[in-house]
Amino acid sequence: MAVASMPTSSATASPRRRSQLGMAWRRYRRNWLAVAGLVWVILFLIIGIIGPWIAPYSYQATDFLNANQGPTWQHIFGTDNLGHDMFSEILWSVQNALEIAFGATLISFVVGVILGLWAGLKGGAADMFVMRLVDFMFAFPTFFMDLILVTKFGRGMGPILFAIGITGWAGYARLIRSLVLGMRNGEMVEAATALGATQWHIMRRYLFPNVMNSMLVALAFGIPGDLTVMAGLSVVGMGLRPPLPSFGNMIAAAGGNMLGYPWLMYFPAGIFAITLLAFLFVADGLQEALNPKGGF
Amino acid sequence: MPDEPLLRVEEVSKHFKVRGRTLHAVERVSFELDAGQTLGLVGESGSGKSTLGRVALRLLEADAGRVVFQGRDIAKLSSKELRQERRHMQIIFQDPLASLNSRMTVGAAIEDAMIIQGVGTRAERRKHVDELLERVGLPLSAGNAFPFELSGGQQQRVGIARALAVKPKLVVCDEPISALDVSIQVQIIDLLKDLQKEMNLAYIFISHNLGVVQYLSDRVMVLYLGEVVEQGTAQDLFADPQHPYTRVLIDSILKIPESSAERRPMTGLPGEMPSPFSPPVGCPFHPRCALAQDRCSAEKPQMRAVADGHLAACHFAG
Repeated sequence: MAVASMPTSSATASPRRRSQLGMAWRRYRRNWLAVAGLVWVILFLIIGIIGPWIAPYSYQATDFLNANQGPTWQHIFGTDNLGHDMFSEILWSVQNALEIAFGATLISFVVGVILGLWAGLKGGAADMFVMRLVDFMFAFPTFFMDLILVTKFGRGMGPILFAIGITGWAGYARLIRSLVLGMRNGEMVEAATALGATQWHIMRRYLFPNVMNSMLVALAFGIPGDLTVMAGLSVVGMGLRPPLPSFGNMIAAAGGNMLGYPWLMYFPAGIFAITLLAFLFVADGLQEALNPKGGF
Repeated sequence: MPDEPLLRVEEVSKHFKVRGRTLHAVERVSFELDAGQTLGLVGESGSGKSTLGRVALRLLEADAGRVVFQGRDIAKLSSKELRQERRHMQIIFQDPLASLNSRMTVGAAIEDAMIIQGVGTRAERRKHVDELLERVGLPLSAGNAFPFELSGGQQQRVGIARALAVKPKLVVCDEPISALDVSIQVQIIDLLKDLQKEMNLAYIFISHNLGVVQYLSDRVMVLYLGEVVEQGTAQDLFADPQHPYTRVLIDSILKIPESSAERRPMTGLPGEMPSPFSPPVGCPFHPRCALAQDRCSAEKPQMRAVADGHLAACHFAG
């Protein structure tokens, strides 16, 4: 790293301006697990959008004559006790899972960023208030809170999305507050102030680029977390109300008859597990790729 | 006004409140600095050198006194006027890496200084970045590097280039060489000296390295516990130090003896600097001073001229 400080020495090979994004992608590509995870996540996203159209059956269509069937050409993932086509159920579930996971994470993120920024930049009483609130959220079992909220507001898409989102912001708030606090009084901000930069310029060009990467990584880790919470609600019977399909519902329903009809567990649980792993690999890869000190 | 100095600091004080107690960082300091001149600030850690440098740029607000830059009291400027005025007064930091944005390439960091001050078009700015890189002795390719990819000396050159990008008149150098290797220190000092001549820069050079201060400065101010204990031209002050503290500082410069006759035991300063929360009564230096008498702990010595343009705050000076 230390290049001799002679004018002739060259710090970089190419004289063209390097884009941050291009270099991040180069670093990302080196990690094959992250690339595999990204492929799965993209596939998952596409299915989330077009799933309902390519599903061979409706999620409500029942076929009692063919209930509890193993995988066949007609029903490639088999059917459950009501004769729902599992393949179609899973295609529909992906959409619900994505809507809730992204929506809830977005709510947590926005609330967390606003409160964290406020605490970090304002300090004093605001900081005290927000951080005690964060302590409370961490001390309180949030899953229990989710259950209360869902019980109170119902088991539809909106309430679940809102319940998971509103309980998950504490981590984001704490992260961004500590990042901002560390930089606010640092020499980087002082140097920019000395150059005559406005508060807005300092936020945009100095603080934001330095917190953005950490926030992206936190987001990428947050999505699988919220997916798990959503499935967890289903397992205790407070998830999406059937017949709306969700991974949690399918896994919970299959659990009771694991020995008799194991395919009802294998397909949804397997796909769900791979999806969680894929998101985590992507988050991990992002963490490495977005660090400019990671090399080329 | 033709003989108005570039920077005039009048009786400036800066106090910090730390857990209900008052820290006296800078106490009633005055000085003047003309364009193209260098003022050296020396003193131990915690003597208020850096604070004084920041007050002079209004990076910190003075609690008392005035800072007049180019004939204008900078405390009276609106925040917009101050931002524009900052174009003429810049700062170079001790730790260049900490002062640079690690997500910005070197070229972007230097260009940003010009963007902030609204200088030139995009093409002009880019061209000026290349000129600056060349001037401070960096390869053009360094413009695409990130700060952490450079060596400490190169990072400091970036810090210098960024400060000079807006063509300032005054630059506060806050220990710009303290974090560098000795061989690199010389290069940076020579660079600073050349740039001063070229651009008619005024420097406030903060350092605890007296040799460098002697080499660079026109006038030198010695601070102890936030107060000036001696000031004068670099020549006078180093040839004929009047304050016992200045003498101790000069004696502590390490020289390689050229003959055995020049060998002498090293004399350090006993003890630590007293707490700036409760500075001693009387002369601030009396608890550590070899010459101290009863009078020193009772009566605070005033600054007085011991020679033309040479002032010291000691009862026994002159």
